[in-house]
Amino acid sequence: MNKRKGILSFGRINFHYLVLIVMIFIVTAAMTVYSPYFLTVNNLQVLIDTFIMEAVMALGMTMVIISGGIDLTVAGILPFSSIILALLLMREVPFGIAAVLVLLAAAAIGCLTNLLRRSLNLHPMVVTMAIAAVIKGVDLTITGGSAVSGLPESFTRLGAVRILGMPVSWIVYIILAAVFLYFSKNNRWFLQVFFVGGNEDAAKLSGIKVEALYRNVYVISAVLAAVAGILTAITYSSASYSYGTNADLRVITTVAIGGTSLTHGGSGSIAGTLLGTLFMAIIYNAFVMSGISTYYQDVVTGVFLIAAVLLSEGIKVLKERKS
Amino acid sequence: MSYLKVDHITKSFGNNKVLTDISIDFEKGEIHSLIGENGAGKSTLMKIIGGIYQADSGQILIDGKPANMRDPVEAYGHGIGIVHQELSIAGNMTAAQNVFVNNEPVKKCGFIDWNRLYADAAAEFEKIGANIDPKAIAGTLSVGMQQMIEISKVLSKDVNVLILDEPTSALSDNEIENLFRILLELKERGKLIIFISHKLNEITRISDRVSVLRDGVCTGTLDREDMEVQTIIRMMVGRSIDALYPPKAKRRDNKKALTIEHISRKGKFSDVSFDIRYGEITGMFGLVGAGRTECAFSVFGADKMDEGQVYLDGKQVRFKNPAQAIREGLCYLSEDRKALGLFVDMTVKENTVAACLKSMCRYGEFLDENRIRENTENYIKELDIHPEDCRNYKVRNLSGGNQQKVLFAKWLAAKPKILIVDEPARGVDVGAKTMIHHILRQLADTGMAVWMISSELPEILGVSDRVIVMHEGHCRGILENVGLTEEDIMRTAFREEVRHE
Repeated sequence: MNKRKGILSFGRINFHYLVLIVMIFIVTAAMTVYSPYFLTVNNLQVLIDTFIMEAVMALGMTMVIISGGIDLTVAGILPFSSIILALLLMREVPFGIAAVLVLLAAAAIGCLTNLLRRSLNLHPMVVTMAIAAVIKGVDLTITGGSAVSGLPESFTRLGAVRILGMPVSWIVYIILAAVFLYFSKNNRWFLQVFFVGGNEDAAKLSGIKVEALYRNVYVISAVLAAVAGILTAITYSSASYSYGTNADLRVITTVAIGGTSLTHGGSGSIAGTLLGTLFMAIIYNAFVMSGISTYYQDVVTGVFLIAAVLLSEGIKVLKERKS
Repeated sequence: MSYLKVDHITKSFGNNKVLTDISIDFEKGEIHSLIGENGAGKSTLMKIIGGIYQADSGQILIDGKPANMRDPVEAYGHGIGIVHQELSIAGNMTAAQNVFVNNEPVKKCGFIDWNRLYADAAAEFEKIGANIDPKAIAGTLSVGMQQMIEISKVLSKDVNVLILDEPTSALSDNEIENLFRILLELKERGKLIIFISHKLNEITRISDRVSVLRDGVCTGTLDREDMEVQTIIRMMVGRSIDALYPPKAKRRDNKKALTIEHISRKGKFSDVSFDIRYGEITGMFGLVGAGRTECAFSVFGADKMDEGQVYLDGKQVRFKNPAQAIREGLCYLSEDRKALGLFVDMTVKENTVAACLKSMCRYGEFLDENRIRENTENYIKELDIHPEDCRNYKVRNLSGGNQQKVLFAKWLAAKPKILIVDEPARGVDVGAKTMIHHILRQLADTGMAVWMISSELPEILGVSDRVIVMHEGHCRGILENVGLTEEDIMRTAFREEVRHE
């Protein structure tokens, strides 16, 4: 019965993580050779800045996907939050209150997602796709298609604030990632998400309140998208419907590359998502550095999505064959 | 010379011998029934005749010639068609499309000839006297109608042998009458009908002959004249109980844990009353469809209850969800451990704490890793789960018996006062089975109230202190397990049928 020992598990290290770490090293090494500029402080800052919004949203998306669902509303909520925040600020609402209002609005969208999913018994893919479309339409209608700028000076200053030499968005992400990582290992509710994703019926019979759990998962994902929207507004001192275009695809790919299964719930990890985030950030940066048109980014994202699914499913098939 | 001859068929799944040396003759123009307890091997035998399974030894003879059928298509080639217990209707397609699925009439170039499709389907329905619009969407029709479509589907392939596996379990009385009329007509036309059921009254009503299976052995075939309910029951259950079972309750103080009064759930069970007592094992016997699991589901809060009262420790309760029931100390161990019990892709450790997460927390919502490990280790030792170091194994990789023990660990960790176990020893080997029965007795001896649902008579007689007999959604009797025999229980289950004879 020593099935756990073998080429697919190196002691306690997950094979999937190992593949990711090796790939991160390979890409980093290749890029360092290609361009001496790659491993400079300046470039690493750019690297992080270009992917930090996706990084924030990937945390919530991981929970949604582990629960067996998917959330496509994030790409709509991000610009929506930035726009609402900007409009509130321009009406001289204090930043703190405006931010709370935006987060509450996002939470309401998360509740709505779950309500529709539950009452219409629809697949979350359908529900969130529809809601995303509506929100994007609202974004366009409110702004008339142009960026909202000219925000109060008290707010735009936030974009220049450095704490320990890091911008606000980094600090927020570090805190969120740490909390999620810690909670994912120890928190009762997080473990329940795995149970529900693994076997919803068994979870229900085990006394887990499945419906409340689904609602919380979608609310968390929506709120994190709103956080990303607020951070975007801080970083760019403006708001626009075009922020976060196709972010949903990038976020889902990141989660899948981190080893969270898109095909069946109940498996995945925040740690994997953090590694996936790092990998994707490096890849996007490598693109820019090597002068390949950014138009190809979505092509690559799609290819990686398939590769990630093949990798995690492939490992599973191999494991099953062995046992 | 018989038309279809099953000749010394033997079949095993792994180490589990399902059929042993079965020989039965079937004639054209007869309705030949097969009866037996759940797991007696009825469906397996039919699947061998239908080419879905292959026999390990023995053969099927048609008109005296050996017929080698490796899949259902070849069985159709020999004129054998099956209507399975679970209907395979494509709900979004029309009745006609369902009849001719994968067998559609085509024009030149391979395009479907829609006019002929609907005309042919109408003709098929006409043949069996079913009043179905060929253009109706199949999913919107009643179960009885859907079954007619299935029968038409099989008959459209011009079969001589029609096998029906538990065809009446989901039908209303009218639909059953209609089905029987069709079967009698088909018989008149010279077809062989093989009818599988565990409803004695139906069998004695329509069959010309009945063959009885028990534990994979054919205990005999009766002609119409000899078909007596008592005889059939004896042939179904006549076996002795081995000494594998634990002793009965040492002391019984008859303190009621659960009192259930007149509970009903539409279409599932009605007016059921009984009680479950501390310190003893109450067995609940019933064949599939008797409403046992449904009854437990409603009490446990996993399903609604239309009428009736439930008292826990004398206090009226009505659980809206399982969480409430578990909080009050009522737990339910499901019969379907893979679908409703375990999280097979998660570890043993995670599974054992699934129903008691709250008690594994410190500082509010944070899990105490040490306590979880201790909990798991304790149950691995106590229930003798193999291998001993399986804490971080995925449950999927354990054997059936050990998976069942993990399921027990999950529920015992929730510290129940009352434990409902549904088919607690299904699909496990004899060793694990005995162990599980002894565990149940130990639990009862420590004061727990155990409500054991089972369709296996030896298990019911060997383990329980009292027996509740369910049949077709009704409680047909509550018997003290003192000198009780399998026949007594069967007779109680079929009380109504015996009376009507």
